[in-house]
Amino acid sequence: MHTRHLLGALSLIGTTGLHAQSAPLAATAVVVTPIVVSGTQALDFGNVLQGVNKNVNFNNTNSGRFAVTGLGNAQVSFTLTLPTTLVSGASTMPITNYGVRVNDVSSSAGASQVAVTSGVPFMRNLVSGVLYFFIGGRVTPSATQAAGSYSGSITLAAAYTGL
Amino acid sequence: MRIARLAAVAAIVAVPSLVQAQSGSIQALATVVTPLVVTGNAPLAFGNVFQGVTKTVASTDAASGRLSVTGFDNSQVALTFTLPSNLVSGGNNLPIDNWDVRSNGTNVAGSASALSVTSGAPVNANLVSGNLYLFVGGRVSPAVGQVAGSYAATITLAAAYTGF
Repeated sequence: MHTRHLLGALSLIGTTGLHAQSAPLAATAVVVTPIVVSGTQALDFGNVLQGVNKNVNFNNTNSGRFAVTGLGNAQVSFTLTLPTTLVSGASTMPITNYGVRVNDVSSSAGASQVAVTSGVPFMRNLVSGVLYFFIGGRVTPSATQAAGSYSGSITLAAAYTGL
Repeated sequence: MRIARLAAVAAIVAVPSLVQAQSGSIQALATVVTPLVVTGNAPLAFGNVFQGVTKTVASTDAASGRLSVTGFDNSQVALTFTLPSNLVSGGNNLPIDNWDVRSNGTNVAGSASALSVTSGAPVNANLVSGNLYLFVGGRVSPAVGQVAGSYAATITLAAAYTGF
């Protein structure tokens, strides 16, 4: 009796084994094209005179240029960090009135205006996997601005936010 | 099972947004040029002149007027001379004309080039090495009855950048 009971229990266990099932689960991943931000041209005001403002517009041949490549149709968060002064030794010269435009092709013609605040992210789509930025601005040397070569860095950071 | 598979895919896709940040930089550049400085170095001195006898001082003479302009290398400047038509002594005038102006990158009158100058009209010149020296000659024509005395007038040179 005791033995029979034990056999019955083993039989139940065997039955459970017959009902085991498996399901395939694919592990998939898409390694996306990394974003590459390239500074391709300085925003160059050239020679400026004391007390005389000088503008370089986005469509000037001396406007600043960036190229961004990445995954087509991806949404990207861009952040421009724009200096408020250019520096030459201990001397500073204000730079203001930034004008930023963006285009899918490497031409300022037809580029779209972008409202940019330094350090504040803005979104754009990499429709064709590439974007070109054109940056203009204005320097305002004072009447007693010290002569010399002035410079400052403009940085464009980009990060995927949607794919 | 369907729920589990969807969750796995979503987790994998979400990962890149955390790691794909890049940045690049460019320079903003400007050169504030050396301001122009115009200096009058020596008067155009005719010395003693006689009634009824014209006297000329050539631009290459030691007594010619001398001015210099310093500024940004290789820049173009517009020079505007304001030239008097008379020297004055009290209420008396002594005509001055036949202006003879030359310029040179070095302070040497002998090798200076003629500069065609009209009073009040800009003429362009280049500051090849950041310096330009100007030599001014002219002629006074005292009348036969010219009143004796010391006559003087001002020659003014204004300079402004026009290009680099």
